[in-house]
Amino acid sequence: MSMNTADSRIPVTVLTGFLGAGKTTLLNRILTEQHGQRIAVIENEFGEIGIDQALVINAEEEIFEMNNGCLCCTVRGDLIRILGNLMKRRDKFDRILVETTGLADPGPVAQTFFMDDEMKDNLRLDGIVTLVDCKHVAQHLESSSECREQIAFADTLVLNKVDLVDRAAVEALETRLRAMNGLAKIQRAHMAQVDLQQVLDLGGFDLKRALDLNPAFLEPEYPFEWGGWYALSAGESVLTLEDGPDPDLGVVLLPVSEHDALATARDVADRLFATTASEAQPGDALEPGPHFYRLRLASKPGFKHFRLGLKTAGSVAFFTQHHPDEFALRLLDPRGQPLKPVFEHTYNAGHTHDAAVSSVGIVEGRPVNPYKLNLWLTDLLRDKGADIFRMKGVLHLADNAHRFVFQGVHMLFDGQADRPWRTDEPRLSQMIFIGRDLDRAELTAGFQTCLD
Amino acid sequence: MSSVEQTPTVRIRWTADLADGVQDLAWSPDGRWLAAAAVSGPLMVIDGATGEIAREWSGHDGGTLGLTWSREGRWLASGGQDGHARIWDPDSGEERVKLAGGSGWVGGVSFSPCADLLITAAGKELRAWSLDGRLLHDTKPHASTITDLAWHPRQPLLASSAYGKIHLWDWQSPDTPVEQTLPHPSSLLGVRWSPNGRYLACGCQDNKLRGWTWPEAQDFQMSGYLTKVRVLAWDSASRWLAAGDREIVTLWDFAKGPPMGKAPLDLEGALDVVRDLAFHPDRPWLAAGDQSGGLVVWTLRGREPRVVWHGALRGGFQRLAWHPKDHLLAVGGEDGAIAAFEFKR
Repeated sequence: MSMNTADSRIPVTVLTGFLGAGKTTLLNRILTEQHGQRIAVIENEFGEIGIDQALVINAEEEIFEMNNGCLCCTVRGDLIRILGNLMKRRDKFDRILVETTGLADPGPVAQTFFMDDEMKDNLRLDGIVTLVDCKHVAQHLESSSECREQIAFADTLVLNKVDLVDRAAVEALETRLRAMNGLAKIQRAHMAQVDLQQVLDLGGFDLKRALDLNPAFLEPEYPFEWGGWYALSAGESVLTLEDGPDPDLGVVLLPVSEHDALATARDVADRLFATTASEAQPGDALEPGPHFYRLRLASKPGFKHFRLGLKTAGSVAFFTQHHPDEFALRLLDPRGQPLKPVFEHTYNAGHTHDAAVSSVGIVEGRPVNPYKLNLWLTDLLRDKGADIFRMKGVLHLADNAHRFVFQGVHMLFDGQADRPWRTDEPRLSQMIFIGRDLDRAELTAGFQTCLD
Repeated sequence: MSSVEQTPTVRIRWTADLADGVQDLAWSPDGRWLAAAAVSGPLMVIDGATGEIAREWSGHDGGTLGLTWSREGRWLASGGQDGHARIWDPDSGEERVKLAGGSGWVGGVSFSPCADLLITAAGKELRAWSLDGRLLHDTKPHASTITDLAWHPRQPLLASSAYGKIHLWDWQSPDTPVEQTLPHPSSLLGVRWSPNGRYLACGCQDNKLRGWTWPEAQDFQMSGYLTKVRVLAWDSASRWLAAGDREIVTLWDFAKGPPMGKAPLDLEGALDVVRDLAFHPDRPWLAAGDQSGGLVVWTLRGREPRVVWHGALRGGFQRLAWHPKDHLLAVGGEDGAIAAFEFKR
C-alpha cells in the first residue's frame, strides 16, 4: 500500500478549485467514507461540513513572504500557526485536508510544507486535488491565472459535473488540461463521486503511471494536436465541423502510401504548419498535398462543411491544429458514411490555448551523478524556479541500490532515499516538470549533463 | 576558579497529568501555584509544593492557547480557540469574566504591569479590558495575526508582534495608547524584553533574530540559523540572550551591547529540535527541553558554559518554567505529563 513506509509524517491533501466546482461535496465524501480516521480540515471558504467527528477549523488566508519578496518563497502563515497547534495534541491526526478559496494560488499552500521546518518535519504534502467545473472552466481558463495554476499544480484533476456537458466537450477539455499538466491523474465525476484512491494517498512516486498514461509527455511538441490516417474512396468526401473554441482551425492533408503511415507525414506536416496558410471558407474544396489550410469557421455559424475530392482511391494523413473533438469534426465518404481513421495519434501540442503552461518528462537509463544533479538543479531552480510549478522525480543514482525520490514546488525541493530497486524492474530515472514556458530541449540537455 | 559551580543533585518533587499535551505553564508570582493549560482546553492550578491539583476548569472549547497571572497573583487569565479570554479567580474557583477577544483565536493574554488592564490578542485584533470586563480600548486591527505580546518590565509599554512589524503601544493613558512600529520583512514569531528593559528581541520566520535597543529603537539582527527561531530567553541580568535552533542553543552576549557581527556561544547537549528555553530567575542556569524528551541544564558560571544536568521526559517537551523563588523547574510534555524537578547544591 504505502510506497514509502519510512515516512511517518502526517499526509496533507490540498483541495483547490473555483467556487462551485464541488470542493465541499468532495470534502464531505472523504469525511464520510474515511470515518474510521481522525481527520482535521482547514477551511478557507465558508462551506457546509456535514460530518461531526472531523475537526474543522476556519482559517483566513495569510500570505507570508520569506526571502526578500521572492514569490516562490511565499507560505501560508495561517496554516503554519494552526497546524503547529494541531500537532501538539496527544491524539495525532491520521490525515489533514486543506481546502483553499476558489481564487487561491496553490503555490504558497504547497510551499508551506517545504519551506517551514516544523511543517516539513511533521507533515507531508500528499497531493493537490483540483476540482474542475466542466461547464464553466473554459471561461476561467481564459480569464484567471489562478485557475491555470490550480490545474498546473494538481496531482489529481477531478472533472466534475460531466453530466452538464456533452461527451465531446469533456474529451476536448481533458485533452486541453492534459497538455497543461501531464502528471495529474484525471478523474471524471458527477457530484464529486470519484474513487478516493485517486484523491488520497498519492504520495507514492508512481511516475511510470503518469508517463504510460500520457506517452506524448515525453515526445517533442508539434504545432498540431492530432493526426489521423484515412483510407478514402474515389469521389468527393466531405469534412463536417461545428463551432469550436477558436474562430479558425489549421489543417494539413497529405497523400500517403501505406508504408510510411503517419510518421513521415508528421514531419512534413510539422514543416507545413510553419508556412503561410491558404484560407478556406466553408463550402470550399480542399486538395490533399503540401498545403497548410486555415479553415475560417467563424464566417458561417453552426454546422459547416468542406469538400475533399479524390480522383482515385488512396490514403490521406490528416493533421489538425486542435483535437477534432473540439470541433465535432467528421469525415464522410462519398456515400455520406462517417469514416474512422485507420490509425490516429494525439500529439503533444506546443501551442495549446493555455499557451505557456505545459509539462516536460524525461526518462533516462544511465545512472545519475548526484553531485552533478545537485549543481544543475540549483542553477535551474535559481533561474527558472518562478516558472516551474511542480517537479517530481524517481532517480537511479550511480552506485546506489535505492531509488531516490523527490518532489518540488517552484524553487523548493524535498528528496529522500526510497525503497531498494527490485531485481525485476529497470533502473530508470524519470522526471516530470510542469510549468510556464518550459524549454524541453534545454531541460533534456541539462539533465544529460548530470549523467555519469 | 572558585566560582565554578558544583553539580547540583536533582530529584523529582512531584508529577501530575493533564488531559492533553501541555500548551502553557505559569507560576503564580509568589510561587505557590503552578497553572497549566492543555492543548485541547482544560486548565489546572497545581500546588507547587505538593503537586496536588487545587483547581480544574474545562477551559476553552477547541483549545486553550495562553495563560498568565496578574502581577500580584490575584487573577489568572486564559485565551483560547473559542475566541474568548477568561479571567479566573483561583481562590474561589469562579470564572470572573468572559471577554470576546474578536473574530479569531485568542492567542495572547497579558496583564499590564500595574494589573489594571488585561490585553487580549485575537487574530488581528488587540483589545484592552478592565479586570471587571469592560472594553477600554479596541485598537485598529493589525495587518496580520498577532503572534505574541510582551510588556516592558518597567514602563506601561506593550509590544505586539506580527508579520512584518512590531507594534509598540505606549499606555500612559489607558484610553489612548500611542502606537509606534518597528519593521522587519518577515513574520515575527515571538517577542521578549530584556529584564532591564534595554532590548526588545524577536524570533523570526526567516531564520533570524531581530531586535531593537530601547528607547533609541536602534535595530540589530543576528542570522545563521538553520530553522525559524521559535524560542528565546533572557537571563535575569540581561546579559545573555538564548535562542533555540535544531540541536543547538545559541547564546548571545549583550555585555557590551548588541553582539552584531560577533559569534555566539553554541551550547550543545540537546538531541533534537529545541522546544523551550528558560533561565533561572537568579542563578546562571539555562534549561532547554527538546522535542524527543531530552532536558539539559547548563550553568553559565565559570569560563565556559557547561552541562550540569541531563534529564528526560516521556514524549517530547512543550514548556519549561522555573519557580520564581525556588530551585524548582516545572516541565510539561506533549503527552500531558507535568513534573517538578528540584535542584539542590
